[in-house]
Amino acid sequence: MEPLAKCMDELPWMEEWLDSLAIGMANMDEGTWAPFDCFQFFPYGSDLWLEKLGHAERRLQEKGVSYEDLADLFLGPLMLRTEMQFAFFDVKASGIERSKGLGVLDFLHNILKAKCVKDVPGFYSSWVHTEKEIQTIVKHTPWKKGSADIGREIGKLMNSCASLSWSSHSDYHYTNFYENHGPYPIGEHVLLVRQFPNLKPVELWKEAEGYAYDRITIYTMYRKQVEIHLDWVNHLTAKQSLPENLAKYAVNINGKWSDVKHTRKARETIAETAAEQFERFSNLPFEDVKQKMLEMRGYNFKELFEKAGMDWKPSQEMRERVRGKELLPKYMPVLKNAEEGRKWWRRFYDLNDAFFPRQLKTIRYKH
Amino acid sequence: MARLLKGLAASLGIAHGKVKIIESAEDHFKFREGDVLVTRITDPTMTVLMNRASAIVCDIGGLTSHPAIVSREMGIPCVVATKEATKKLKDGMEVTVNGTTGEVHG
Repeated sequence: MEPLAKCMDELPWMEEWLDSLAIGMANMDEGTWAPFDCFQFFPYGSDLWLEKLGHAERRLQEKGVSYEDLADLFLGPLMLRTEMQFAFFDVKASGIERSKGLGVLDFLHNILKAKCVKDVPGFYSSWVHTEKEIQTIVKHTPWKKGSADIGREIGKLMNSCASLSWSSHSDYHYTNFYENHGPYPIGEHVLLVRQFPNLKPVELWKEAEGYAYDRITIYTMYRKQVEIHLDWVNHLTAKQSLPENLAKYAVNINGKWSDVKHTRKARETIAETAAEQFERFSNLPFEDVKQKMLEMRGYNFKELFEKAGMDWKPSQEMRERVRGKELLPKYMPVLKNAEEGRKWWRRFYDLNDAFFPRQLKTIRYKH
Repeated sequence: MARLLKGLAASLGIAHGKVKIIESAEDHFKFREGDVLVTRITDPTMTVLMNRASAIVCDIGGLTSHPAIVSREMGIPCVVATKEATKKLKDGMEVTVNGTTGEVHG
């Protein structure tokens, strides 16, 4: 693909965005992504997906919907950043008309800007609350005293909820259903809010109707020496042990504040549900897995598409594009270290760089 | 104790326990509270085991792969990208996992 000339003039935020993205990608291992490496799959429908988003943007503009209104439809910046990452890839993979591709990217970025109070590219946080909102959380949450044991229990609850999110939505499209918000400095402490707002995605899995838990929010206040960092895709790292530094916590399960006894019961139940759900997803025939992946991507944007008066589910053309198709060939080179990884991933997404793995250039649709 | 493996230090801390190699759901029955979960890479079918593990060791994975993230949340050591944990370690081996240095000793 030829570099998109004058891209920098039209996407002035791109350089900073690419820096943040590359740092996060370099710490991942694409060999672990489930159910498969999405970049071996997305190119089959990259053009159709971008056209759908572009169509949604036009309809929302006609309706006079503001970016702030659209931002309210999303849990946080994670989903928008992840989908922007995929959209960068889709623009390169599809050969879509340049103005259309850039238009979709700018649309998503404008919603992202409206969602983030700080750190739009995600160098260190998912900062979605204003100072006033943060103080409201601190003041009105029914905090309980933390301890290392309770911290470990909180960690197990997080593991269970995150596992259910990954098994319900894949490693790519869980992002509107699981996010950490913060870290917010509060004097000698730091506040982190873990959100799981939809643990029963019945529109994707009818079995979810029987799940006991619908939504869980975990509020934690750590001693600040823990030094929490969230990268652009919300991966948490810390300089010290989270459980050992837990000062205060509160857990809200299905709208009710819970104690440790109930938290333990929830995490045991959700852990078993996560295992069953992953088995269900993994045991689907490959053709059904591909269809489910299309549905998951649309589901992530369900509220936006519905606001635009569109169906979130994949179109018949999208479904036909992937039917009977194998995954595209593996494309990742062996990278020596994180520095090499950062450079490679940056080039992978950079619209000013003609580089694109030849293994993924198979599909180019005309418009 | 000899160093058996070296990988990426994905979650801080040191833990000691018995190795249990988990390759499929058929292996889950053998896992006990405090065991060291050793697998190619964790997946959600292992969530119950991960909640019981004293440490997690994987053949593949990065600093922000699932086992790394959840280990940090649970405060247990984790070493990923060892390449050969599931081959070099054996069920029942007593090991020490150092998630701060990325080493497994036994």
